[in-house]
Amino acid sequence: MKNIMSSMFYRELKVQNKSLKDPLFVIGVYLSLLLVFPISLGPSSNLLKSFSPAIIWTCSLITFLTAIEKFFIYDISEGYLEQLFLSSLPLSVIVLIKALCHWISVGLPLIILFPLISIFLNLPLNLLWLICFSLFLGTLSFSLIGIMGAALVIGAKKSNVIVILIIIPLTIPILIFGISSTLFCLEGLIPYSTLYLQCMSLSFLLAISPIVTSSAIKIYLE
Amino acid sequence: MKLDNLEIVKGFNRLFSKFNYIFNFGKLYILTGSNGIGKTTLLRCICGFLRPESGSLLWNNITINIEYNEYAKNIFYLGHLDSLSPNLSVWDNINHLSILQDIPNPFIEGIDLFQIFHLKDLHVYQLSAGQKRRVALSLLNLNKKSLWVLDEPLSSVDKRYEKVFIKLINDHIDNNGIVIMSSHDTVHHYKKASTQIINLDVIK
Repeated sequence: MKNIMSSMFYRELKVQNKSLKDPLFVIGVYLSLLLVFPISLGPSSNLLKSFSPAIIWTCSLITFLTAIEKFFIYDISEGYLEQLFLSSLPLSVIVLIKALCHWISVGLPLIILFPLISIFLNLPLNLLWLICFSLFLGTLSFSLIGIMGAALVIGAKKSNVIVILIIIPLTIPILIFGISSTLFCLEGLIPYSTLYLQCMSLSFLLAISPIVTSSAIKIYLE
Repeated sequence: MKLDNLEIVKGFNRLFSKFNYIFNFGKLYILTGSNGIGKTTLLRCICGFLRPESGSLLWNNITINIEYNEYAKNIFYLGHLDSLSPNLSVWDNINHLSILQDIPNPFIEGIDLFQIFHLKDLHVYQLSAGQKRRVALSLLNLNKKSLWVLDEPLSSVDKRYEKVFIKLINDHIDNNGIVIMSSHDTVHHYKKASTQIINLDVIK
């Protein structure tokens, strides 16, 4: 069992990051999205400061949504999904491993990059680690919601549009909690309550998302 | 293995109705029939990927849905896609698939029946269709799963590897396994005595 899980994990990481270029692409997308806001809002640093939590979270949401509808396409076109279905590992565990690998290849580069971004946005540096932690909770939730949406639209025409319609409403609570905990951090307070709420939504998704995703895959295979 | 009153509907097509069949250990079953008759659908149904509209599949007299995980341990499925990831090397693919399905790894066992060892470090997208098929077929070496479900296993494979494949099939039948496969041409040198050809055109 352990053997299968580690092999699965290794394969997923390799498939999702074909080379070192891929995390760099993620970082590039994120930085170019961030660049839009200072240009459109103008250089006034006060405005930028009050908007920065919203900017950080919206940009990371959009980064997570890029190409999420293709998440299972390759497994299907290679006929690999059937092999997963027949393996002794439950499909929901496999899905969880896939979500974790998706977070490692998209979320982790963003969080590693975040100290640099906070300098760009002129954020105070004293509670940076707490913002990173809340980003960790939020982006992992994005991954879990993302694969749920991706599994629901397998085989649908116009899947790239439908997946966004499914995912965006589900991410709104996570955005609200995340943005408010970032706001508290910027004012120098430790945001216990919103961090707890973020943990709650993450654990809820950890329980729900693998089940929904694996049953959506089973329906597709029929 | 027994198919009992099977009825399979795909989309608006009623592919099978009241279909009964018994598969016995130690035999090879070849499904033939014209395109779109439901060969692949029947194979997928046997593997449990799609549920029949009515009727049931029994494995050792137990319906497969009841203990699906136990049943799935007995199956080796090879679809008409090779289930190889193009961006991984041959070794990574084979190693992962053999761990995933709990079957011996041909590289570690050192059995190179399909002559793929020299391809070990190449990425799968660099291989030709026949080479990919040989890599996928190499998982049949020493495979102890009792039910092999193969969908067009010999598409784009050279004649010399067909012989290797036929020998593997014959060995598996001798070891009391079941092979169910779909094929277009049935004139191969499988063991005549234990081969049954199921022509779906005639049955329906």
